[in-house]
Amino acid sequence: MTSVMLKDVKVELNERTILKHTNMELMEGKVTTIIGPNGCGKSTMLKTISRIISAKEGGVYINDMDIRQMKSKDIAKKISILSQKNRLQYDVRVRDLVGFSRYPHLKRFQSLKPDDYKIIDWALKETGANEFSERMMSELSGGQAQRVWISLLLAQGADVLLLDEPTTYLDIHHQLETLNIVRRLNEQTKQTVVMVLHDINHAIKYSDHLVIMNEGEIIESGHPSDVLTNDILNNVFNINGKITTDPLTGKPILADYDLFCQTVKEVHHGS
Amino acid sequence: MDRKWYPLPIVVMGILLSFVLAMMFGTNTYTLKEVFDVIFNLNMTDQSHQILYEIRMPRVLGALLAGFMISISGLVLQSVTHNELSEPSILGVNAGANLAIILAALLLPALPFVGVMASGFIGGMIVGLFILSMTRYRSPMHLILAGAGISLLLYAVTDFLVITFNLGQYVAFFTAGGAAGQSMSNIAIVFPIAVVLVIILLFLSKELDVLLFGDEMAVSLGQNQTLYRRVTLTLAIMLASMAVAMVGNVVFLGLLVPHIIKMLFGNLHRFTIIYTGLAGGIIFALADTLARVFNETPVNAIIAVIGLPFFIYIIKKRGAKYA
Repeated sequence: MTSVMLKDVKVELNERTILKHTNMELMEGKVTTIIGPNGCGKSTMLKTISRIISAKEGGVYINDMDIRQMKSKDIAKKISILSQKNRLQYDVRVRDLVGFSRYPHLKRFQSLKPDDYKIIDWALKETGANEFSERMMSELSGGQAQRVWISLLLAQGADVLLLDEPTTYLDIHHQLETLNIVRRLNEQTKQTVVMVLHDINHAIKYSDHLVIMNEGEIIESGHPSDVLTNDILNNVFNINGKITTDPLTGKPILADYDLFCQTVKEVHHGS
Repeated sequence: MDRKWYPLPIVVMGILLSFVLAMMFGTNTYTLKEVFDVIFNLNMTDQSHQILYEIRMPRVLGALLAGFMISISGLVLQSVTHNELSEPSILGVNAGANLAIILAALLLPALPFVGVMASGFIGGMIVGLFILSMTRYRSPMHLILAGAGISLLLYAVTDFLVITFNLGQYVAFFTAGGAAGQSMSNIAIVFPIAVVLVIILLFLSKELDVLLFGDEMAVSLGQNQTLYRRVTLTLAIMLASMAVAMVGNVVFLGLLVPHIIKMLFGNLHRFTIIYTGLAGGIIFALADTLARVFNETPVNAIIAVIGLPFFIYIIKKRGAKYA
């Protein structure tokens, strides 16, 4: 198991504070979802954990070791990240792309070994991407491509998976498909999953733990039933939401929502 | 074995074929038998043998070798800088070599041709590595801008010296580019170095793959990007500097050949390095042969004339998939 802790992390980009002194410990083996309005620091948090962005103050600790003192390849064996925009500038065969994931496990000058190919095959199969593993990435639909990216994440073999908006740009079917894969894998492998989502109902449905952020701070965190209230929606997202209980699952559900200010709509209707 | 290796024997045959063709055709035409005799049954009292062995063979081998080096250098530069338009000259290698050769001509007029070539190599290396270190190996865009700016400055200084000291005749052979004037002893020095550098690049092919596929992927996979950018670009600069010292300012080849190969074989470097090098050798040797056949037309013009239509054809046919 791998424990990941953020201790008093402060992040600045272009002299603007994106994350204000944040403390968080990732829930081992659980699915955690971070929600919050645009620009609240969700993506920055994931990027800081995976050292794509470095903290100005405080630090990220993996098994009580500061990531700044760890070898980059050793971190890559513990934490893998799926970026928000995985737009490939260069085309590549699916199987070869997933093959890159074994990079942290290879020594200098070493190429892929039979064991690595076994792991790649397993990862492709887990997401169903084995059906098109000989095709080029440019030939795939958005949903298929996302399955490939998740295979890459799996084959990297890290305990902690960070997913930055894994459902953006996908239609509703493929959003659910992607999230189902993530949850199934989490149940099978007990990997720690931290993702950023925009859809509040998805966040409730697929998470053990919710983290709600606003303006670079964690406002609330805990089990979805405990933290999600009308007040939070009101204050954080500035929407008029109605949380009720789903009669089938007993979980909370965002049943209806609208903006507080209706004037724009009314003027439009009246014209 | 990956099916992308299947064409390799054909390409290796292509090297042999282009060698034989290049030996046969030129200002004078020789028979196939004469070419084979020069290799297997050399008779130095025969005048044709003498010309083939002492003048044409070094030229042909030099062209194969230079094409090999320029093309691989272009491939590495395109991958590391994430720029489709990169070729060896963008790192100031050509400009540095030109200036160094002019300075050598001014300061050490008695220098033999080998010395002129060596000064070209050193000039290319110095400027290339200077631009690399100036941009701290970081952003590819800084590299390209610095390379373009410093190249312009060095060309201006070179032009000033050429005009002031009336060296136009002297530098013409160099600025036009071409494989004339090679000697077997030069090739014997350059060939083993080039092979070693390319073998190192082959060992680094997975690093080049990760560099090509972008910063976030490289960080996520734990690659030390700065280190591998530095190492691979230094190797590319060494290859380009040796090539520029041998055959002068050959343009377009280092841009054209990697693109043709990437369109045919994809982007993984374990395939593209070898194929790019071999194809570069073949294309340059054949272009140089045509240059000889057509009264020593500048080889750059030949490469442009034969390369461009092929380039356009491939872009049209495979472009959509490649883009």
